Amino acid sequence: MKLTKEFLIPVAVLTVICLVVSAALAFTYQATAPVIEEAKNAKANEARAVVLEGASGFEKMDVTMPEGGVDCYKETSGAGYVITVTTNGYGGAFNMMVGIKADGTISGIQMMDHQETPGFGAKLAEESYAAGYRGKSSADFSDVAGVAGATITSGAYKKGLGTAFEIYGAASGNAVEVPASGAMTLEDAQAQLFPDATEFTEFAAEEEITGYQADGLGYVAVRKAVGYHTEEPMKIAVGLDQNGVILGVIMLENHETQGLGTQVGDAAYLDQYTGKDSVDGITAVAGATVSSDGVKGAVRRILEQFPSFPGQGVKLDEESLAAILPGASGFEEAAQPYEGADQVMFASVRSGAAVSVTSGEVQAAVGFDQSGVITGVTLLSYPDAAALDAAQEYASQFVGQTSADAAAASEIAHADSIRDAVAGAVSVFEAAKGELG
Amino acid sequence: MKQSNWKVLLNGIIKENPVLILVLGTCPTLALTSLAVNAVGMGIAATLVLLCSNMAISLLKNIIPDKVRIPCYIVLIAGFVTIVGFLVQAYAPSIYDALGLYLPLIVVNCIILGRAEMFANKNTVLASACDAIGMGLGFTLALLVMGSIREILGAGTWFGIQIIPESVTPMSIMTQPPGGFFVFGVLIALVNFILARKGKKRKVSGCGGCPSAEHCAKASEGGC
Repeated sequence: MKLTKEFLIPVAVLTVICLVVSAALAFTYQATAPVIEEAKNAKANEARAVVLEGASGFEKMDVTMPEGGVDCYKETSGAGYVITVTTNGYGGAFNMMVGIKADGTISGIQMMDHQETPGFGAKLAEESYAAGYRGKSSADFSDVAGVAGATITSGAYKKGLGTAFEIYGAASGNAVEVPASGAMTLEDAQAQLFPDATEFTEFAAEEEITGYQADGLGYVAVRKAVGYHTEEPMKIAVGLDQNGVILGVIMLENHETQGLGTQVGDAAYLDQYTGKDSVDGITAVAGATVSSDGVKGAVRRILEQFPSFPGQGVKLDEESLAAILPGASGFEEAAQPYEGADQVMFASVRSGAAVSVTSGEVQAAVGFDQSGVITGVTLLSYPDAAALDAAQEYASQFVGQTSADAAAASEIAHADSIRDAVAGAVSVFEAAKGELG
Repeated sequence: MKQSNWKVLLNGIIKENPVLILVLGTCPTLALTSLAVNAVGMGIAATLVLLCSNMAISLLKNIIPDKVRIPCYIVLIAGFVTIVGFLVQAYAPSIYDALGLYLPLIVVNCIILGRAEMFANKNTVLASACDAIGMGLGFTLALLVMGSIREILGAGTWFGIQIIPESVTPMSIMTQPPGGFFVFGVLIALVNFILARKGKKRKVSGCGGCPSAEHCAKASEGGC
């Protein structure tokens, strides 16, 4: 009996009370849940009305959501749509409510539940920033500037807008214009950089560069540029003249963030490179630091490899010039590049010409006097250092000649290359002698 | 000694005001009195819960064994708070947002459990109901007074209506925690002063000095 009184009754009473209270709770919940839901909806609709001007009522639309889409509501009187998307910012994911009018332009944007940095990413949540997007369509919203110092948040914001337009397109059935990415084909880029060149000869270079010799006028170097989206690098074409000065940089492929990183494909940024022979002083695009650095790094590598491009090789210096044109001085580069020659220089008063030509693995410098007689030959680049003296002696046989026809047979390695180089120099001289005056 | 039910009710408003005399339920008092409207909302919610719990506990006072009485009271009180929470959320969502975390915290509001222990488990349902109404009213009134003072001095408005002209800068410290403590302390002092003048001298210590001595089970044992 004591047991019953001490333990069983208290436990039983407590249990019964718990059950009764739980039942009452369940009942109240059932009764109030629809009312609560209704109130929540009204509140959400109120928020939607802020974003889409002239809204009276909303109905939810059943559209397949792409990645990042949350929901899509159509305004009942046809004013447009309010689309909620989620995007990954600096401090985590946040929601954006985008109001898109029936004509496809942005009516309003609200950034919600965000944890972005105050003063930086949080600035994008301000009304003053969102106002900059009013009236923009899917084609030109990417033109609006991001916020300096808030690269990731700006990118996420634009990405969210892109997703919203995608959903808008699916919901309304209207075609959504995608802004041009500024990409060009290789052929078009080559034509733009060297309009006078007819043939582009491909050659391979170090550092993942593919090069094209533009008819002796210069080079087009193509390389990837790793920017913000490391898994989809950009591709650029850099036009260089014979002296390593950049004629232009053209974007061939750009998968960077729409409206931000894509700006590095615009003329405003790329024109900075024209006329330079180094990447010093290049200003990055505001809010697209990583993409800008990607392009800059690729251009720098191309410039570094430039000396190894075919037709570049060793430059004529005082020593070699003195060897092939003794007594001459006041050397100047030729006014234009000559096909087949690495370098052409004229002595002052045009008393002679120095031509360097690469043939095979040999680079030779040949000096000519005014009448085309060879005054000297020196090997600028010869692959076998041990046999250099013998090769040099072989090359000297051409002095006093006007062509390479009388070349003696020889067992020296690369003799044909030496002979071909001299022959090449002769034909260049033929073409260049007009400059001798 | 048994009082008339009317006296029971009046008791809670002045003589044994839960906030200013018994000093119970200080947490929501300080937290929710920065705006008068929030203060009233909390007061009404707490009164509802108090009424329901007092009546239920009084009804069940002979059934609930002494050993498990605290868990039983807590389950009942928590149940009522949750139900009131649903109702407020459904029919007054703006008050619900304003009360925020403090609505579920009514469960552990000392006033509710305190009255259950001190009164409801010893008295009739009707008396308990009157006690609940009295205590609830006292709580609400105290909160209203505090909230009004803090809002008028700290924001220049009362229930949202501009009282002090906008050109006068309000004492914003009043709407913040330090201001809450100031006003609370001053009110308690004021009430003690008024009661002392009315001749209800409080004895210094022991059960005689405690206003709940009449109802407290421990009083016969000589102390808390």
